[in-house]
Amino acid sequence: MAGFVVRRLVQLLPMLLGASLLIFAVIRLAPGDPYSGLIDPRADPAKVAELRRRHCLDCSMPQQYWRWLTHAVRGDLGTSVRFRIPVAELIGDRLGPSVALGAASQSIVLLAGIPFGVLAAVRRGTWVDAAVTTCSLAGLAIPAFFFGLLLLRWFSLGGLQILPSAGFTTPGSELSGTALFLDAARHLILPATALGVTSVAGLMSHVRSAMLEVLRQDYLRTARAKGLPERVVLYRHALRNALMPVVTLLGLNLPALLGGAIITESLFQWPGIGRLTYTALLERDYPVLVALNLLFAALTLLGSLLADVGYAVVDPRVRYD
Amino acid sequence: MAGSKHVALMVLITLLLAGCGAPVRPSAGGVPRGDSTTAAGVHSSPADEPVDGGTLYLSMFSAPRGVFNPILMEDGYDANIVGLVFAGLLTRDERLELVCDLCESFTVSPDHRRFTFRLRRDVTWHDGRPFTAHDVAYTFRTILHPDYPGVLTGEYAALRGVEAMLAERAKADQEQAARRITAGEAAARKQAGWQAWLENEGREAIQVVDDHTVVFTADRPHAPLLQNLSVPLIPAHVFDSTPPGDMAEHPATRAPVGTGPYRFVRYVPDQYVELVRHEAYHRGRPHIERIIYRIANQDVAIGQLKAGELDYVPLKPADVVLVEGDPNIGVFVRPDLGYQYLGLNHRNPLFADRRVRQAILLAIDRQAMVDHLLKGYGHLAESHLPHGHPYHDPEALPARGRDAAAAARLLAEAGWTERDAEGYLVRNGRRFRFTLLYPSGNAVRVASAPLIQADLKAVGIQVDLQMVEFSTLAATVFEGGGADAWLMGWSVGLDPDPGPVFDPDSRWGQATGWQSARSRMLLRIGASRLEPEERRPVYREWSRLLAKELPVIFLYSQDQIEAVRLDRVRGLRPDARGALWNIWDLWISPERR
Repeated sequence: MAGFVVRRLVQLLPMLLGASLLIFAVIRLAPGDPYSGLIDPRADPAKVAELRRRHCLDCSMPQQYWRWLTHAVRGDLGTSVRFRIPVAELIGDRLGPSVALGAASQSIVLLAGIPFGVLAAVRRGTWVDAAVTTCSLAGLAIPAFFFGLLLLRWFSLGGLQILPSAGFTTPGSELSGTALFLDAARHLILPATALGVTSVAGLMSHVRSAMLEVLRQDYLRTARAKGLPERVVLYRHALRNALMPVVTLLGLNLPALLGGAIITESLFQWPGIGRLTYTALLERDYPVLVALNLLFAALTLLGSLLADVGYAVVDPRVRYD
Repeated sequence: MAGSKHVALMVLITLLLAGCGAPVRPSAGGVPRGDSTTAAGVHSSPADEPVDGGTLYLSMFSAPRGVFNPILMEDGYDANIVGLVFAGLLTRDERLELVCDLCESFTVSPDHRRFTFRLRRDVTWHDGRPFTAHDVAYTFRTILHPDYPGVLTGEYAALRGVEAMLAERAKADQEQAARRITAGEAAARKQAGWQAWLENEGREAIQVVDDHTVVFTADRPHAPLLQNLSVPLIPAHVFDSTPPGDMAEHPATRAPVGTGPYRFVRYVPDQYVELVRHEAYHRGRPHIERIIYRIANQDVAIGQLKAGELDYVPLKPADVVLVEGDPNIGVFVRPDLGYQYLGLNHRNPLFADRRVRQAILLAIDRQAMVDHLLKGYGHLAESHLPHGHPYHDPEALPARGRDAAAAARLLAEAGWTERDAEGYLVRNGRRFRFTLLYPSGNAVRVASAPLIQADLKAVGIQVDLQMVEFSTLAATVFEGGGADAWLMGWSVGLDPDPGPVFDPDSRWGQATGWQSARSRMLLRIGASRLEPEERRPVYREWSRLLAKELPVIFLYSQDQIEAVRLDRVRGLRPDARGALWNIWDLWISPERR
């Protein structure tokens, strides 16, 4: 198993290299460059041309890529054209909040999606199934931003007024340690709920259909015939087998966890990767875009690796030696 | 609509009257104030007496880049912070005229080429160092340095010897582009030119007479120079050990040191900027102790304002109705110095004829855009200098309402007489049809595109709409020259000189391809005169020319609407400079902290 993981990790490198080339080329296919949006007539054209030269925007594509690559292998992802700070710092500032939001919302998805999916499958065709399915589909049907606005109305700006409306921490506060964690956690509740509740449906329906598939299998009848309690039958024997597609789904969800929350991030002013990606895209901030897309590529590859490892964990028949 | 404006005006008048009761402090701020702990803590002051302390919560809707350096920033959100942290030689008074800020006086020589500034002696940087003429010289010399990594250089081309130096630099760039010289040689030539300028004309262009006197000399009288000299100043003692080329990486570019009313504390990216008052601010120590400039979501901000989480929110026209009934929220409306336009490529034979452009203007119901999209918070734009601009002359430019019959007549005069089966105009077998590009983002502008399409269809012109994002549009229009028609906006500076916007040699002028010797002549005259009374008739004439020639189809200008918590923020004296221009004079009501 360890050998398999190491081998896969080594394989990541050439794949990332290929991805970087592709990303680099595709990003530059879009019309304009980082300075196209700077149309202020006060901006001196000669100086703008000079800034373009500074960033090697007038170099040929292979030149630009080589320049980027030689820096990147030394750990230097370049400097943002518009923010004028190192890309690593720009992304690093937003990585923590993004991971927190992604992890919290995904926890809601898992904690709600799996039990409700099992419940709906076990009580198939009853009112329980109908209620669970309806609720989760309603969650899917409500756009995250609208649900977010409702949450704000109920818990923050109107109604109970017990949770902060926006941001990652209380503005101007000088907190550290546990107090900072608790403050951030309070701020996390609404965006994580908005994002999590609206995406429970996908996982739930996967779990439900996988469970239904498994519940028909002979070995479950055997397990029941042996006199095992229903709880053990369902959770140890059935669910474990039903989790295979779920593991795939979760693994491939990894990049979306980080970059897929643009609207929720902007509604709650969450300082995440999604908004940075959007801004960088609109402004053609090439170094930032390349780094972010490479991050997403790495997460996609890592996610599929984690899914493969996950198969071995949930299914003893899967071996990678 | 009229009602809502009325209410706003009433609020404004009430505030102005209330403001009269407040003590007027001399702007010189020379009187030292007592110990703050006794002043604020002990006495319980009535509501209309300024009280120190408290935190003001402002909002903007996009995150600043964090480039809080007035000579490097490229974006308006950074400018919000720079405006509080920095100050320049000059500022604007309530009539938007240039007056001293960091100077005690400024004089212009009779030949309009020398500007002498006597600096205030009571100004200190936020780190406690005194502000002197060396800071002024340092700021402008940095902008002119060949390695300066910003874009303002061209603004100072009129200073003595600068135009020639910039021409030499351009030549070096051209030769480098043609690969006749290497990048290193080009840089060396620019550096040599810079040294030569510093030792010759440069001494006169920016001359430090003593610690509190600085003199600027221009090659020729150039009125916009005075406005450009009001750029916020940066501290020499902070930056001067860094080569100008590395200024962007200097920590003080992100954690700035200025002379403005508020000192920078920190920027938490995408969240907020925290500022604290500058105790030694030259116009008097600000009352409000802290400012939290939050980055807010536009759809949530009004709820935050109503809940008391924010004290200040810029409003969209459609949102005014949401706060109108609230007695604690004041709405302040003022004209925005900018306008939206429909750009046309005059090289396209469709638009080469002035009558066709006039017909397009008359066919579009611009008043409907103002009434419905802007809810009345706007004005028709008839020329480049919009409503509210000090050089706007409404009598010279009567508003033109929609007139489809006149439009049809003008089109017929231009040879568009036949129509095809679908009712569209045809000439020589070709239909009058073009593609209108417009950027995503500005919701009002996006909504105006289908209105333009429908209005032009009514006179027989087929418009195909294509929405693109802004960078793509800007690249197509200003770099490729590949667009036939597009929607965009200009913000107009307080100096009436439009810069290169209509200069056919610039990329902005090339986008339309419009050429007018008369416009060029008028602008040259206008820029060379410094007295407003002498300039006014020139720009009136120029505005008329543009209104008739229509280099672009002028659409509308949108008002700026600001909402402020009146129960918390006291001392407001809103005018053309906005609701919070006297931020150092405002205070937070002690009962509502």
